Amino acid sequence: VNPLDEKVDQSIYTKKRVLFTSTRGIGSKHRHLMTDMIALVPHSKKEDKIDDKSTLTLINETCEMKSCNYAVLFDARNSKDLFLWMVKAPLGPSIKFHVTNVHTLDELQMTGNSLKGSRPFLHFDKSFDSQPHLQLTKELITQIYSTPKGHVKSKPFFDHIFSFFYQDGRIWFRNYQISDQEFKKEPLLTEIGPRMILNLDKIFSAGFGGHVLYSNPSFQSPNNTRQLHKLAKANKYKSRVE
Amino acid sequence: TPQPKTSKYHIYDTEGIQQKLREIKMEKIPWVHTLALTSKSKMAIEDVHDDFKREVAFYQHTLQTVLDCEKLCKENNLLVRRKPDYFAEMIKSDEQMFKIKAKLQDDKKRVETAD
Repeated sequence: VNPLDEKVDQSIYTKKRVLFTSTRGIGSKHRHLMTDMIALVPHSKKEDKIDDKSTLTLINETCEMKSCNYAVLFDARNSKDLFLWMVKAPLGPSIKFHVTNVHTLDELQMTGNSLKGSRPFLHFDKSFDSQPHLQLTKELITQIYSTPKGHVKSKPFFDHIFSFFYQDGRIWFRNYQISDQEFKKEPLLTEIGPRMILNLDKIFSAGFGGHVLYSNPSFQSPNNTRQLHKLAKANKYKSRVE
Repeated sequence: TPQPKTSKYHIYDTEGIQQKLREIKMEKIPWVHTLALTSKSKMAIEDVHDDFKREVAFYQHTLQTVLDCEKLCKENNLLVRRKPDYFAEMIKSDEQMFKIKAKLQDDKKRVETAD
């Protein structure tokens, strides 16, 4: 297929809309992260908060009503923990991540900027090809975050890149501005933000449900992490007293 | 003492995953619609928890992909650079960028006075 051939129908690639939504009780930092991602993804569609966490499968129907074929859900637990669902609606797969180390666009240490609506390059580190569940994750991330050529809200230039790295058993996300230096002709990267780490929890076969295709053996629930942390602190004090 | 709790059973349905991948994969999608590249070299990070070393490695790795992407753009007749007279809304507002600049200058001043 010649991508520039106008006669060939490209709509199977370009018809794409991603529903972005969150559950009720999301914290302010995580809400900012969501609005940042919505601003960065031109083919996104924002939807009202979800009231009932027990029936997430209903989001599949919302997707159909809003003619979205993908969904990203920011699922808040105890207002401090954030789980991120990336879903191809309605037939799946769905991938559920625990999100940590969040930095939003509002923070001042990341000095880059980019056009609103410019299409991102996507970078994946080679390790994504090493295992089937990572290949699936890479494919879904690509389908959700890539903006197709000619999308109405997109701009015809390239000034930023989304990077996904698989390190230490988790996925690290970065967004860099690409600016060219006048004399050296070599691009220079400046981080725009946001930043986050995605810890893969489970992969499901259908949209927001179905059977489990993968569960991460080293995944530890945030409640358990906190509990251990507290205990370690308490033990430290105890041993000092003794 | 309680141990780190991880899930009771580990599920890895390789067949199911590969089947799903075949279902959703867009095989012949032209690069111009995804703009996605996977690096050819493996990343070498001494210590992921060392912020500076990690970020430098991330930067270097991304830079190589940027160069490759720009090459592919040229091959596909896509305009890489923005025209200087093209103005449009940015992700971060002017107000936010002023704040960032002010902070940068502040930091610089502080370093100078410390010297």
